[in-house]
Amino acid sequence: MPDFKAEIRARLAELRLPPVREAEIVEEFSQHLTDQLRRRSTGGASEEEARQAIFQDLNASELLNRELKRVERRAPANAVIPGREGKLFADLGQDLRFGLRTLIKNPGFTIVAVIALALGIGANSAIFSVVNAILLRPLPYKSPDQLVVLWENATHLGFPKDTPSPANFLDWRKQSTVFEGMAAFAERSFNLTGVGEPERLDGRRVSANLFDVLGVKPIIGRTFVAQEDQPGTKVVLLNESLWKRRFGGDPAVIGRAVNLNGEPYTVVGVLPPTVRLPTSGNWRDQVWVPLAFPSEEAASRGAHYLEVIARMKPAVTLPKAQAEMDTIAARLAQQYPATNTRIGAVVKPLHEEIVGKMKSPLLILLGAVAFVLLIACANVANLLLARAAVRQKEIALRLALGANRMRLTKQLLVESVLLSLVGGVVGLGLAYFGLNVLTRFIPHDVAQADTITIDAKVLLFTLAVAVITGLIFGLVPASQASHFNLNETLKEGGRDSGAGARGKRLRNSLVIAEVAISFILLVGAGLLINSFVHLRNLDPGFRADHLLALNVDLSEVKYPDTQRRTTFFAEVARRVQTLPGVRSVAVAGNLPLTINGDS
Amino acid sequence: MSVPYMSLTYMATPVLDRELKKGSAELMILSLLEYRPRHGYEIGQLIELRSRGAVRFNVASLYPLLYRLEKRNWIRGRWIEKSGQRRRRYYRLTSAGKKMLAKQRHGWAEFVAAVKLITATQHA
Repeated sequence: MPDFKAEIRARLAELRLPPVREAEIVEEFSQHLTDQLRRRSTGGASEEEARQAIFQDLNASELLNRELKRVERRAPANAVIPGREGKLFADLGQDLRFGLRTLIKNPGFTIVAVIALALGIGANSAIFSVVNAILLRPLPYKSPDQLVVLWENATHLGFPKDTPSPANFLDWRKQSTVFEGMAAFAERSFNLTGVGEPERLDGRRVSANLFDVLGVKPIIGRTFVAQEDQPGTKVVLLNESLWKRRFGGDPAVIGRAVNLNGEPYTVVGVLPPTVRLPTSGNWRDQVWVPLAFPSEEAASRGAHYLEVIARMKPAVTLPKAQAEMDTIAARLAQQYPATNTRIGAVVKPLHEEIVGKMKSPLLILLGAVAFVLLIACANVANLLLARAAVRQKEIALRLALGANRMRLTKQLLVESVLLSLVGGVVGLGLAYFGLNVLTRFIPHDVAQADTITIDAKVLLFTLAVAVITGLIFGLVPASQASHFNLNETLKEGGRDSGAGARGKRLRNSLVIAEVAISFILLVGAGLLINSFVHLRNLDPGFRADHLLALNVDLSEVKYPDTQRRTTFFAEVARRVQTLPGVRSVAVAGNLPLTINGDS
Repeated sequence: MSVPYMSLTYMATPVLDRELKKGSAELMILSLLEYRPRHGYEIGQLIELRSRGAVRFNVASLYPLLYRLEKRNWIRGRWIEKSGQRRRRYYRLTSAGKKMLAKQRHGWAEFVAAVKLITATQHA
């Protein structure tokens, strides 16, 4: 049997009819010619004669085209739905409206897809909020890239980054030329009395120039001046929250005396809440007093408790600063062999010191949620592929109305990106609530943890993730949906076309990918839980159950010497021992495992 | 090159052929669809059969004519699938088509009567 369809289609080509109309005409003509062939054959003509006669009729293509041209309309050059050709945004608006209507018309599909996407995008936004606050956001200091932390290098003793002693710090500061300024600080707690309820405050002794080195300006008042870095000077800086909480935010607090550890300190300034000194200890300083080394302390090279920050001069690089500090440390080792032999100096960027230990875990976590998003993408792509099978008729009709396949692919992509954007908006809501829970699990001393929030950068990230996600899960179904046989699809039985088989293969591939990714996550989560269980079961060398700990700071005024302090703690231990339910009592400088190298 | 719209076996000249087709082709199709829907091949066959082979439509002219009539809303085509058969496009007469059929039938009758009068005069 001759292939009439191909012959007719070739003759109609120049008319450029809309595909569905062309398909109808081809079908109708070919039926007619097939019937003619059959009739001529049964009438006694040979097949060749019948064929020739029919093609003679058909070859009246000039007549055919002329007559059809009078009746039929050409397919528009572009556009699925009416729209001005070449106007991207006009098309985009139409695509968005159409996509929105399609999503609203299929609430079941839309809700399932949006939930899957919201979970994936929300998890990514939440973790990115943490990454953004801790890793990406610059430290709240002036030119933070110029700030470095200085450590003593006592690797031979097991302390590659040891806290410097006062005498070494003072020598470093005196001898170095690569730094604009160098400052030290040490933890110290205070008992605030005389203004309502007594309160224990976390604070620090700091070099007078510390806030100049950091570039921090006070909210009110001033920071310390060099003359105040002397023993006996009783001045204090408050942080904003303490100022508001205990002094009602009264500016008149400047110049007022407050009682700390039984001594009157004059308030000289209030610092903003962003001031947090980089340290391994507590971040929530509420008061600062001058370091003010007594001469005995200033000469000490054996007591290592300071933390040192310096600001490099603009042209100075880290290796250059390190080289100079190596020279200075070597010189000090020669001068003070008893304490400084094999003691070097280490210069580290401040940002690395603060967030370095969080970098790997956070990036791993970000990778994990990216996998979760990929699984969501695979799920939604599967849903879209399944729906594409149902929508073949609709897509065929739109092709028939004059859409070219690129235009249709674009429209389907806009639809998937729209779906993803809706998922992104819901995901942002989930991220907002999720962050409240997440931040509770972030250790208290992690730098900038309390600045975790959904800011413009997180919104941009979410938008980008949503768009990329939409493209990822939409591209395959969109390209697959527009590759099927239009004629076959328009027929009643044309559903199981080649595209259907391709769709099944794609869906199977997506499921395989999903299982593979899930397996990776499952193994990762399993290993994490295993490590956690091991940590929980680790024997610290003492029984940690049924133990209570209490921090006590004694006033240096009331308890100025070791004798009185020892007596105080002995008395505390004796009295606590007599309390019901107490089996034993002990007093220690630091709790076990709380300070590196000191347990 | 011009190809005949439809062939009238006994017509003498192409000009007369063309003029006659204009008046008759639409009328023939509308008439055949007056009482029942028919598909294109059936319409072509019936025209050939009832004219005893004197009138035969070319496939390249029959269908454009059907489409034109459909566009004028005189007939309406619809794909119909009967059990055990491939689907076919059946055309039926619309109410506008029925009015047009009556009008054309009347016009054609007047024309034929006029021709008869003329030819009768010639023989008188």
